[in-house]
Amino acid sequence: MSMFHYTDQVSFDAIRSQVVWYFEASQPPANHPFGAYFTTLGRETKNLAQRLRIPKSKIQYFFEFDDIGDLKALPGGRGQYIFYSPTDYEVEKSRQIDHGET
Amino acid sequence: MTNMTGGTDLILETAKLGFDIRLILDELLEIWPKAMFQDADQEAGIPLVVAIQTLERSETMEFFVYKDKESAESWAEMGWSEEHGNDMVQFLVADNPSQPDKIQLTLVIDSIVGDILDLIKIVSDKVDRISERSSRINWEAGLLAVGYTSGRDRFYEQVAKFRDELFRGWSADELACHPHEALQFCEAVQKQLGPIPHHFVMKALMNHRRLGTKSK
Repeated sequence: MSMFHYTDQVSFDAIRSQVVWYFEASQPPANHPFGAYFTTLGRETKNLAQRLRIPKSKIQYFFEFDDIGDLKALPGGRGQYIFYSPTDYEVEKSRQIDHGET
Repeated sequence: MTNMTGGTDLILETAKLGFDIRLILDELLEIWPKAMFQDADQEAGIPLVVAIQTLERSETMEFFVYKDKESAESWAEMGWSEEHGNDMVQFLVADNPSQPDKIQLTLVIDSIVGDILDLIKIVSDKVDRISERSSRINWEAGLLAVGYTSGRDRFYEQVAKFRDELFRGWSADELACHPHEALQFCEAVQKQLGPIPHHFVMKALMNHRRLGTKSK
């Protein structure tokens, strides 16, 4: 299964500049755990910004990689499709599938 | 690093038995009378008042309720924004795998202020009432607490007799499916037998029917 990370241009450029993608954990707003966040919702998903509850400017770019089952599900219903790593998360080249504009 | 997940996820649990999301949505109209409804897989929304009439009962679903058309259009155009961030509540209804008799209801909001505070209170009250209605009733203690001393079996018989007198020809199910008539019936029972909670009356009616069916 594919895992996606959506972001804006500044973060996209920073992450893609490295051979190994490096997703830095941070404290999201509100009540979510500290971590680096990902989703199984693909680029064609309807209402993607609404489901992630973020501005559309933050879904302009994507990273797609192979899921290896090491990410935690967000508590609650959105845990069906939102996952996180409680620490910084690296994706080696062999797991990288695609990246670019959504 | 971009924060890829916004909102606050409020996780509620209630009994699957008697759960109907339309009952909750109906109450939201008190807070947002011009609310718009949008299924998570649909491009466009419809007025919530229309959605309540047409929504199919489903055990798993995901949808958005917007404060009004302007909020829905803003979210469609920009996604989350400072201005309209708190004008949308996302609902996710799912089975609870560890407790098959429960439903998990997740509400995703921005912050618990203003309309959202009232809205959460309405939803959580409704969820609590569903849980209370579905939980096992301690008949003897419950009836004694409101001054009824003849016991559960006699109470069942009296409720069934009142139904025969007041709604002759109606089955217990038919009465339960007509909220206004069910309310009239519960109030009539209260006049005769004392301040017995409405859910006791309706549960007695259903249980009496089941016991009658089993004994046949």
